[in-house]
Amino acid sequence: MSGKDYKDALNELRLGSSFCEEMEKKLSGELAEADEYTDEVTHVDVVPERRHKGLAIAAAAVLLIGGGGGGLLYHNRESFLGTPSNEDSIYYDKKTFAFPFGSADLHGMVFDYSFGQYMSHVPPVVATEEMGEELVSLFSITKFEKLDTVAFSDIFTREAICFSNDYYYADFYDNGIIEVSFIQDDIYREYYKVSDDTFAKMRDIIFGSEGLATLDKFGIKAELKDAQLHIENYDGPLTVSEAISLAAYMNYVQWNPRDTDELKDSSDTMTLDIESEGRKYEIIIGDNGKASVDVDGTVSYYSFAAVEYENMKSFVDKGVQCPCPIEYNEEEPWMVTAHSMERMGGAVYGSLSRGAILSEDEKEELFAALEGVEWKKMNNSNRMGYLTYDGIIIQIGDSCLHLWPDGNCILEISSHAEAKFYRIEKEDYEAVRAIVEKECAEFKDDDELADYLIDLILSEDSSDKFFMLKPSGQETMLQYYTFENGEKELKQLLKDVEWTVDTSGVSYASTTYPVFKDMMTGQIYITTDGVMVINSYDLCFRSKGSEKLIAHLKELKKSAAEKEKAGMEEKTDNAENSETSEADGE
Amino acid sequence: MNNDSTALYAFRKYGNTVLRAAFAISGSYAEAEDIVQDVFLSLHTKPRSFNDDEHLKAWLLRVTINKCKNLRRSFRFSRTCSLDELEHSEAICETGTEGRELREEIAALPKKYAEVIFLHYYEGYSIKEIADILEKNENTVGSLMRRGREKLRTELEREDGICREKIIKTL
Repeated sequence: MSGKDYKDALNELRLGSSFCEEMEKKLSGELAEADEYTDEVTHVDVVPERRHKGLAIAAAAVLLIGGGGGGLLYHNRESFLGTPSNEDSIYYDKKTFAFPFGSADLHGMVFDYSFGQYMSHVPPVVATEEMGEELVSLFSITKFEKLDTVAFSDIFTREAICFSNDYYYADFYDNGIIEVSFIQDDIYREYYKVSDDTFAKMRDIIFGSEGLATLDKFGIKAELKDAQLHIENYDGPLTVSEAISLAAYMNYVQWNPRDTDELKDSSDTMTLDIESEGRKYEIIIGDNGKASVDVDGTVSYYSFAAVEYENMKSFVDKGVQCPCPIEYNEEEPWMVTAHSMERMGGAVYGSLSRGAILSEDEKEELFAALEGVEWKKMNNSNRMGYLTYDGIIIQIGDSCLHLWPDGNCILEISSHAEAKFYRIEKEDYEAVRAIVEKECAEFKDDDELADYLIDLILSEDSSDKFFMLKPSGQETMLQYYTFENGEKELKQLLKDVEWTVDTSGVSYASTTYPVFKDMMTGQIYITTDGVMVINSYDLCFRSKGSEKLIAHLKELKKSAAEKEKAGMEEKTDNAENSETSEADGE
Repeated sequence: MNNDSTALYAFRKYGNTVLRAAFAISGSYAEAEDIVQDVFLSLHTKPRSFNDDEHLKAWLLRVTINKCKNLRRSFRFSRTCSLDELEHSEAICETGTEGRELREEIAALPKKYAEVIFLHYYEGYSIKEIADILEKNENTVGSLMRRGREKLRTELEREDGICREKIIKTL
């Protein structure tokens, strides 16, 4: 563009004479304030943009990472403040206990055991009437202290006993911390502290006093916490979590006695040496589904489903050192996000993200940090949990690296539809997170970030097809409208809007238009009040000038619903006509 | 630079420049006028010193852009400038059809593109200079420029106005 016509068109615009006169008068007047100072400017100053200050205390809404799909839920804090206590309506008896966070009927309650957010494979226990009474007795003499704050890292790698009802999930950790996640009108968390021995007493009542790491198979009853493990690259004791998970799984696996030793055909084995009550046991498990058990020199043989070998081995997977799993790529944009918990009114809420597109210098800095990390490649995902706390994401092209504070990392490569699992030291995570947080704090161009994500989720291909999720509900869950064309137009409308990152969330009641190209790469939720939620990255943007976009989405949804309704009516008519014809025929 | 009143000097010298920037970005003459008033009164009540005219102009444009961003009623699509608004305004000295139609397209351009288009095509700033002013990286500015230009072209292609061919040729 030469700019001449553009310039000519604007040059025709001039200030009106009366406006100029008025302004000259105002600007010729004395300064209003005598003590006004004069800045000496040696560079072009920038009027600070109105950033989102005081978000943590905003009485707006917050977001929380949702279930398996990583979806976001948004909840208005005001609604939770107005939530009536459930204590009045509950029926009290000697198995019901009024916790400070709400009552629970402990008889018949299902208790789960977990370790560091992971599935432990310890079978859940349904509390008997007797257990319920014992628990009420225990809690009756327990002092509950409400905590204002909690270090999230303290509850990552801990044993926990969990139960839930219609109002909340309660996780009792082995260090006495109780995390209560309320799930009614709003989702938020509260923390309490009880004495350190409460957990052990509770565990003994619910799961028995024998110990969760007790192996009870092959005629052996022994604590795996005392076992020595021998696998490729490792000889040494099991950690508590490994012992509990492995014991639970070995107790669960079906072992079939065999007459002969077929272990020699295995290519990989896992050996457990246990000493208990003066007896020595050696259990060798092979990847071909065969095992041998030596009890004080007497050997017996077993077979099991070979697929279980990898599962059992995954519990004791120490990982193999490997280079940094991502490559430096200066061609592709790098996007990072950092999400963390937010505290509002004494309660802890879900994850809120900040993001940034990195400059070349920032890419180099981050990559240098990632290269300096000691990476371990893990065998599989069995121990990978689902975490709702702090985390960071590094997206380079179609590679997405998630890192969590407990050192677990997942690298997803969407073009290969695969995920690889890694573990790093917690200190390394902190170092990488510090860089990502700094980059997010310095990044100002929210709109560029939004446009990048729009491009990422509505990725270019030859098709102009896209989808919109139908309103959620039991009967329509995960159903969607299909639009054979219009994706490019929608994408352009989305990109035309100016977006700013918003961590205050959106109203729970807002109508949303969830659009996507490929369910796996995430969805873009647009609300009627101009908020865009990118759930895969826990990012939320607020818009200026999104009316045209919202009107477009509304029309799309309306026409799709009408088309669907017309299609259903036609089907019904055809069916009725068919029945009538059959009846007439008769 | 006139030392008696920087604001008055700035207004006389750059009043129209600020108006055009504000119009190009906000898409409304009425709002552009408000912004002009706001920018120069800010300078008047809180005087600053500048190295030279270029420094002053860059500062005024920076403040103008920020004020456009912070407009409370900044719904771009509902604020686009109408022909009536412009025709009845005494702001326009010449009211050529071509200029008016092109101004409508400029007004309808989403703000994010309008900033870079104005700074480049009106003020003649380079991509690097725009990146500095807007605190964006150069790649972003380049891509906003490209998309803004495409957007302007698309809008123009939809028009049957007499200036269409001429404008498209220059894009």
